[in-house]
Amino acid sequence: MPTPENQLNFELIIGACILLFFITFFMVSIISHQRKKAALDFNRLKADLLLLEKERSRIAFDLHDALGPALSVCKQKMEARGVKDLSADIDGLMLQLRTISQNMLPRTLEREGLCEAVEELAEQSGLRYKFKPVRNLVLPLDTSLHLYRLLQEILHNTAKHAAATQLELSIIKKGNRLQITAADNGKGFDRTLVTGTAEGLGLRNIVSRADMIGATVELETAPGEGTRYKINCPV
Amino acid sequence: MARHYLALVSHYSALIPVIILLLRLRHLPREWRYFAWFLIIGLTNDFLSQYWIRNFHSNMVNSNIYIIIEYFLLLRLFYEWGERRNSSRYLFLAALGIAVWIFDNFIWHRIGDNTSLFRVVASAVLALLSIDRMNREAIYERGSVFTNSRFLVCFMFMVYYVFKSFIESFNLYQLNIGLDFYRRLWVILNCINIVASCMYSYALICLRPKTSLILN
Repeated sequence: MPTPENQLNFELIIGACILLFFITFFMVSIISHQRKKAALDFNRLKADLLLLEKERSRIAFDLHDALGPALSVCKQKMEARGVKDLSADIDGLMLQLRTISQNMLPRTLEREGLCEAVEELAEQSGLRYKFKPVRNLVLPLDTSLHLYRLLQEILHNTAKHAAATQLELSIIKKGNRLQITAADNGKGFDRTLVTGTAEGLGLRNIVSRADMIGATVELETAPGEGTRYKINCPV
Repeated sequence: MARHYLALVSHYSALIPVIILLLRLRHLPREWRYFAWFLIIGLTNDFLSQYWIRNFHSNMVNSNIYIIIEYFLLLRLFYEWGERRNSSRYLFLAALGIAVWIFDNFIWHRIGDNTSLFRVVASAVLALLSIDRMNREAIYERGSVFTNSRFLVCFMFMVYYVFKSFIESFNLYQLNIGLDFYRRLWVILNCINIVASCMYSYALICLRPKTSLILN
């Protein structure tokens, strides 16, 4: 015959087991739903970025193939009528149009590959730069496009906020991983202070882009010590 | 005496959500009709229980029948809330319920006995489904959970059925702990029942009809 004390202990054990069971299920269920939600968000973001690139590509084609020739015809007509002072303005417009079109759809990336396109980006940044490219790099277009956009965002941040004079870029292939480094000698920043600001949003975009291709981004920076991004991407 | 009144209030507290339900019947989305039946049948069972206790000194027969009806109504409710996905899971749970109920009420015990096995299984299944649905609502649905009717109902189901499975598991093992301990547990269950009725009423008030798609 079990004593009342034993009965009570048994009762408590049963109660504790039941509670533990429900708490465990609660945790498992919430983690499982969180993961599913994260996967759903990831796919949604991927679809949004794909749509964005498609739209950019369409606008770039329209600018380049429709507006460009129209401006060119306009320029010829003006020259034929002897209006030469406006012709220089139209040249400026055509140059701007090419730059916009190039930013929207990097043709160099499509034609020559990531290294050449990145070098072109560095040239456009107006900074002194050193670039170590990797030879014979062949990447799927969507991977190279994501990497290009990543570097575009980084160089945009450098040119706009870093007050840098020098830029070092390198693309190295190690086995089946690509290591991209972008470092500047600018003023650097405190990472904790940019959260929630426009720069913070830019950094989040960089991380989101990297997530799309399974890449990781390391950021080394401190006030007065420049900024260094290391991108590690599987290829 | 106070315990008796608390039990009475607990039994008839289901009247509040039923009245609100009848007032809001026109706005009730289709998938909520099983919840409506759950409230109405629950209240009917409470009246029946009073009648059986007065005349036959036991409400076990109607309670044992009610509990399986409740189980099926809530299973169907969760199935509808889950947009009718995973039908094999719900079929399995329904088959499990029938098998356990038959075993508990006709093989192990008689239908007029205080049977606990089915109550433990049903309460555990409903608590797990409630937890899963509650987490889903909290993670996927936009807006505040405090005005999300499904979340509120699932939260209350979770509290009620976790506690119910707790009590019924003690009944199942027939532990000789003392009547006073069980009485205290039933007082807590009655209190939870009153809170549940209030929560169901609030959930019904928060319930918004689905806006139909209008193409002009």
